[in-house]
Amino acid sequence: MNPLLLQIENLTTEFQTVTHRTPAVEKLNLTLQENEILGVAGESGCGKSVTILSVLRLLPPNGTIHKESKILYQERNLLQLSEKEMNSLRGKDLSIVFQEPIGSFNPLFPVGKQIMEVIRTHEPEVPVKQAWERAIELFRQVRIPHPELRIQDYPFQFSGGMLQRALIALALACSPRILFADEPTTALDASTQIGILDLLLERKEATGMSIFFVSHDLSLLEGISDRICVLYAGRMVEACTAKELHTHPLHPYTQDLLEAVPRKGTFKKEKRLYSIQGKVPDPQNRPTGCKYHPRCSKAFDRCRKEEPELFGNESHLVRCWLYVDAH
Amino acid sequence: MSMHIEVTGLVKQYSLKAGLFARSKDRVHAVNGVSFSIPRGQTLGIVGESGCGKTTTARLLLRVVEPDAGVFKFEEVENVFSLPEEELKTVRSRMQYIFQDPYNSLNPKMLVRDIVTEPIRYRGNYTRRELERKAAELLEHVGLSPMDSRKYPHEFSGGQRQRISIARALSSKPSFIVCDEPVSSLDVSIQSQILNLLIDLQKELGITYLFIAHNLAVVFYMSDTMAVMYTGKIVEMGPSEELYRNPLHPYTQLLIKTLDSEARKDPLVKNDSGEVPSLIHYPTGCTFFPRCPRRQPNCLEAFPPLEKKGLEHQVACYFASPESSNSKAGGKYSENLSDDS
Repeated sequence: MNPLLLQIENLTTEFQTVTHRTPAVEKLNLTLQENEILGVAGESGCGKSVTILSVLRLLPPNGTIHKESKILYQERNLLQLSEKEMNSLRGKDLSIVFQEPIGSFNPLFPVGKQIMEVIRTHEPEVPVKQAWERAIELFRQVRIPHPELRIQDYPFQFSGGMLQRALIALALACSPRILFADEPTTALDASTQIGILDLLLERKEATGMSIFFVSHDLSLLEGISDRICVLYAGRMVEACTAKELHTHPLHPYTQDLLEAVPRKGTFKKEKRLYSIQGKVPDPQNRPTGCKYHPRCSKAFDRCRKEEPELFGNESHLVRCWLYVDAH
Repeated sequence: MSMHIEVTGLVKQYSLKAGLFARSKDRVHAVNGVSFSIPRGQTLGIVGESGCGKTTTARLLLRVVEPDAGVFKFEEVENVFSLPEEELKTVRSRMQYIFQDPYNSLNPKMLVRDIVTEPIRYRGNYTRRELERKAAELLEHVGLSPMDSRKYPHEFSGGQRQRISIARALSSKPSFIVCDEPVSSLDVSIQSQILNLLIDLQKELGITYLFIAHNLAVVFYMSDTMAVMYTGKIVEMGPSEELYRNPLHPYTQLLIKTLDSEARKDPLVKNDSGEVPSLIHYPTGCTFFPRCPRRQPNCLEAFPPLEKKGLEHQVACYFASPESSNSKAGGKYSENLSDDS
């Protein structure tokens, strides 16, 4: 096992609305090893993005992280750093790729200039000319054709896939240790998607960074991740290696998620799609017991009353009463 | 089998603006001679990457955008494209559109019952009460409660909103519905609910669908026939199972490889540049040439015609073959080309 790079311990993030405190993530424990891709799956509203924002401390003003929570990076608790210290980490050690590349760039400046800005912010000693060359080199690494010309283009002059590559170049500008990727390929075409995934894998191998990859597409995560963690209603419900999840998904939610998507080579004549009934519970009104029980086809009495803990061992954790014996 | 919908030689070009008043001679070739037909009660799926003309094709059929050329035979109408505005209105009520984004396609200031019945409000002489009853029926039909008719769109989740837009599409009793990426902006668990609903409605009402999505597995699942589009042309078309098991065009083969995490490691997929030629300076030869593993010099002479390869299977490729067995043949040539491309 590679050494640990990031440890999220007991993370609880709440949002204050006019009348309520709404927990988005509750008591989440996650670890990320060096040079590893951790896939985080779940429907919208499960707390995937909030987890990333909590780690980077980019929550909106009404979001608070509980005092007991700890986010350890290189033996430092990120939650106790000053804003200035945090700024020196963001974009350098920890960087992020968002889903929408077009919203991530300033439309008024050429892309190259924006990459240069990141480099010069974190490494002010680098002369302008050298920073510009580094930006071109980054464009080359992310396989944008004619890097020395494209670097002067404005964001609107790029196609979606190319701009996503440029955004990855921006995120890689200062050789981050951890890249947070929040649904980086969801907005892209199937064939472009593969290119971007490959690019991320290749840069990971080349630089030894780790990737925290968030997506709602479990089958995509199975293909690229080392480990996968499935979130539901702000909790981890299952965590194991990608291979294990592919062969033995244990939690009913994981199984349902895999059932609900048309797999390759299935046609409507042959099989009706499984639909998960209902929707993700309203965070202010989560059910008692297991949070998935109202939608679960295997729910029994105990599920309605008590919330299960995480059962199993380090290699395969699952939050479900069906597996209490395995504990 | 009699066809419900027959489209022949559909063309659309957009002219570019050269300056404030001047029009440039350059034109964007969005759709370049697309022909297809759909039997009643069946689904034609269109796949292809963004910018390949899927949505433009759909919009042309409903005459949201006027085509430059083409014939669209719909039910008893010989050519929808040549109908005068007045007659078009009556035909249009039999064609409806379901949009991708359920957040922007519903007017936030209208009550759900008004949204749902808007397509029929000015067509028949309905009383207020009749419209209300109609709205309740439609909402029940798509799995919502009749009580929902007095709510506003913001009170609903994405999946429920998409149900509202399906109810709206159903209100004028259409026989043809264009579904333009109907599930792309929805969560996985909700996607299957909407797809199942669309299938059930088709079985019950015998509606013909044109189904567009960029998620390949979804289109395969939903369609009876599939058309693969590239740069405004159909490059391969056939029954969806046939197309999945026996793809002949290299682009279709590339797309199908992306479905599988193992096949994604194929060098053909990995080294694919994904660069689409400019649609302004439309090349004379095959537009897939720069990415094609089988390219030969004569591919550049003319775009390959769509030819029959089997009963209902059509391919536009000079070297159509089941697997990219001769990928090596083009290897040397492609290496030389990739430097200056």
